[in-house]
Formats: sequence, structure tokens, C-alpha cells
Amino acid sequence: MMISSDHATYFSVALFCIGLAGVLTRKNLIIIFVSVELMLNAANLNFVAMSRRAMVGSTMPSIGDSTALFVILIAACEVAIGLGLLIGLYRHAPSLAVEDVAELKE
Amino acid sequence: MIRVSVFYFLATCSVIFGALAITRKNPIHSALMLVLSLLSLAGVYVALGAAFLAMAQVFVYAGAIMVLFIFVIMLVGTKPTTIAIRARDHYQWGIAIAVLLFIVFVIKLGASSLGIRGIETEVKELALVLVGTGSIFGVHALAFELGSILVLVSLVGAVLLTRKHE
Repeated sequence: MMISSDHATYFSVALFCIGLAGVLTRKNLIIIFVSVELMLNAANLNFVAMSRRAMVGSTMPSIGDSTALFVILIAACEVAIGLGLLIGLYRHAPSLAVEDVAELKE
Repeated sequence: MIRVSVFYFLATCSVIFGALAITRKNPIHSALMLVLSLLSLAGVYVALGAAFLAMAQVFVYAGAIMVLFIFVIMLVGTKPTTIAIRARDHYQWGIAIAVLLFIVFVIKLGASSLGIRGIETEVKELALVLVGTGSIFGVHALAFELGSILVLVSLVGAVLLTRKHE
């Protein structure tokens, strides 16, 4: 019995929509960040599942996997910058609610 | 057989922990649920046969990124006065949009098995564009170098952003 990459795609869609719901409904910037991470991981799962299917019977190294690796790399950069921004923002005005950072100028 | 059941179990775990992560009131609980979700996903990668990616996932996400998250949460504090725990106004619309998108995806994927048959070649081509073409061993050289420059730039950027102004 094989793992169906269709099913992996369904799990990926579920994760992505959960992340989207988090971004759209939550107020706390940290939790919005967490939701963005979920969405990135959903995309990664899709890459891996699709590359499993595309590389069936092929002797090439799996390119989808490497792409997922670069997504992880970019996610790491994004988190470092984003959390840096968050700290700067918190220093500016001690609140992490999205409504309070609608205006960047004082 | 075990591999298949592990895949479905961990993928379900990943989705459940993801759902828990976005519904927790306390950001630290949210971050901990996220790390469980990411670890489950690493297990899914192993079940799919991408062991190296699973390792990278554990190192980078469950290791480095989670430490950053928890560090920042500790730094800004979790007092209810400083961190809003409520949902946004009109959050029902957000949920509606997400559910709608999920339904559209599922219908599209389930309508015909032909629906996603073409995607795999697109993924392959996109990946070829992203990581470059060439011999097997030289495939990732350019993207690797660009990635290291990106990491350096974001490192400098993060340091600059968090520096205190005199």
C-alpha cells in the first residue's frame, strides 16, 4: 500500500486554510506569525508530496525536496526579521495587537 | 503498511495541533502547539521518504525558529494588558473565507483525478527554475550561495532592527 500524494495534498490544504484562518481572525501579532509558519509548512508538504509523485521511477535526486529546503531557509530569515520588527514595534508602543500598529508614525 | 499508518497518524496530528495553535489564548501555548505540529510534519516527511528534509525541519523549525519565538514571547511578556487575547472584530468573515477556500480546494482536487495530474510537472519545472539546472552535483550551487547571502542580510537586518536607539 502506497501513501497517496493526493491525500498529502488534502492535509496540506487543511493546514494552509488553518493558517489562513489564523491570520484573518487573530489579533496578536505573534499568533499571526505562528499562522504564517503553518501556511509555509503546508506549502512545503505539498512540494514534498508532489516531488514524490513526479520522481517515481526516476534516478534524479528529488528536486521538490531541495525546493522545500530553500523554503525552510527563507522562512528562517523571515522569522528573524519579523520578530526583530516585532521587538522594535513593542519598544515603540508596548502592545502587540494589530489594531494598535495600524499607524507606524506617531 | 506501518509507514502508511504513521503517515496518516502524523499528518492528522499535524493538522490538529495546527488548529490548536491558532485557537490558544496564550501565545506561549500557541508556540508550543506549533512546535508539535512542525515535529509531526517532520515525521510525515520521514514517512514520505525525505529524511534529510525532516532533519532540516527539526533543526531549523523545531530548533532555531521556536527558540526565537519563545524568546520573543518571554521578552515582550504575556500579561493580558500587553498582549491582546481577543479575536479581531468581524472575525467570522475570516473564518468564512478560510472555510470557503478549503471547500473550493477540496472540490477542485476531488472533482477529477485529472485536476492535479498536471501539477507535478509544473512543480518539477518550477523547482528547476528555482534551484537551477545542471549536473546532479552542481544543481544547487547557485541557490545555495544566494541563500547564504540572504541569511547574512537577514542577520544584519535583524541586528539593526532590534538595536536600541540612543
